[in-house]
Amino acid sequence: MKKNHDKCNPLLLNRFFDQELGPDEHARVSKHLRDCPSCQKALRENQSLSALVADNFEKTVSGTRFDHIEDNVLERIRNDRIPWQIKLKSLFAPKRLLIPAGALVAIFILFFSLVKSPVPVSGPSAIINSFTGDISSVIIIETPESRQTIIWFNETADNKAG
Amino acid sequence: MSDKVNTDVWDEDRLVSLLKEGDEEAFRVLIRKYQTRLFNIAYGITLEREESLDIVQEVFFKVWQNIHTFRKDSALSTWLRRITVNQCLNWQRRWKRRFRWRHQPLEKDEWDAPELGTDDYHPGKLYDKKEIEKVVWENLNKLPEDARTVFVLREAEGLSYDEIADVLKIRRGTVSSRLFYARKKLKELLKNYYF
Amino acid sequence: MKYVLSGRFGHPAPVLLLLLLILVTGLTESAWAGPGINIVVKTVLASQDSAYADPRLSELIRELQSVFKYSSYRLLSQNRMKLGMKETGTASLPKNRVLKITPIRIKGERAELRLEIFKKKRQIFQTVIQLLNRGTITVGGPRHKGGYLLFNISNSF
Repeated sequence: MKKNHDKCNPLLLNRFFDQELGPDEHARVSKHLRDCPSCQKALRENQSLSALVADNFEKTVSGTRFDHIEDNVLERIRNDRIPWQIKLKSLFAPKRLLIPAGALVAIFILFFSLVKSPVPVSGPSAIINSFTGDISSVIIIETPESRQTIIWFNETADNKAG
Repeated sequence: MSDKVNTDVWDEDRLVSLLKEGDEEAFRVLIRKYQTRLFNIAYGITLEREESLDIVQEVFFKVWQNIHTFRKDSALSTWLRRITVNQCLNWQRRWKRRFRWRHQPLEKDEWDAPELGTDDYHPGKLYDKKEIEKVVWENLNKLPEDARTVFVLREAEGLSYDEIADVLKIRRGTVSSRLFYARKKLKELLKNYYF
Repeated sequence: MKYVLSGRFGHPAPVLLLLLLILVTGLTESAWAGPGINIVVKTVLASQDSAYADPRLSELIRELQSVFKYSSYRLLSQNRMKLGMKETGTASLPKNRVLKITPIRIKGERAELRLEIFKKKRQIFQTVIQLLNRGTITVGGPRHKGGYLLFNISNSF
């Protein structure tokens, strides 16, 4: 290090590794590297890390099937092209099903309004109106399926000790 | 016919103008040209294969919806990468809470090295390539979002500092420091397994 | 219609009043549903110990597994209480913790409840929630015996 009258500079070495240095800096780091085993080691580690990560990406890509992306995207594009009037029309296309479907819905409504149970659930199981406390953090989440509310809090260090 | 599309012969200007016209073949070319590269970015950030495939699809659909806003201030690839990164980060934010629960132990400092001696991380498994792969991804996931994104753009895509700065709209110096930090941290995290 | 109603019942007004009464009763039935709210508090220890799923928690575990990674769920205790409005019920929790529940009112299909957790008489937090009839909420976080405590609170009225 000292032989080169130059100190180790990991940030500069990193840019050297990425070939992001100008000619002067590049020459300076190259010169320093010749006599600095620790920087040589750091450079080798960067190379190993880079190869390892590149290898990982390659493996992941080779194990992934991309064929459906094109079909899915093009289908969405085609659907997006259809004017809204046609989309609306297609919604009402099976007219003969409308009356039976309506009758079925009416029967369901009548049935549930008579028995009054179960009440259809809308929204999360619990709505949090307010939350105050001597805690270090709180997170409110819902389960994905039936939207059960979960409050997760971390007690303060003081509380933990107590 | 469509299977024989040669993505190399389409220059960017021609591709962009056809995309703006809504040409389906142009979209096919775009997808074939960029799907793997965008997947790499998405996977490097999310580490979820299926989610990454969904994100890539969403990116191409967004391109379809917004291609008219593309002004050629930057390269098409930069624009695509930018949309991908944004999609991934939105996805991360949406699911961050859940990830917090999934990572055990819950209140452990994210920067702690993996526990040695447990079944998952036994050094004896170092020669198992699958295991190395898993350890690399897991430790990549321990990097802060911004450092990981820069690292992925550099290592998966081989982008220069200027290109990364352009995609993420940050300064070149910030790219350099984040990349340095990411490598330093990863080497520390992987020290027991690899270096 | 008016003729039919008048013909059978003399005047439509009583019929309309009756219908209105049924409607109002139906709408506010939950408010008149009785003097109390049934509340069940289940204290659960969730941990990464060897896989164990308490059969009494099967439904809850299925829900929790979608967001948590724990392999073991044990029911430590269960408290049942029937509380009137503004009446406070208490459930003892591990490590000198106490959960106080106070129903405030019923609003449609939800009961407004105040939940308070105390530790050695010191309030850790309080929250006011609107819990669906037959709905549950899970409050968790305190560390306990190498795992975490979860308090699952359900109500019906």
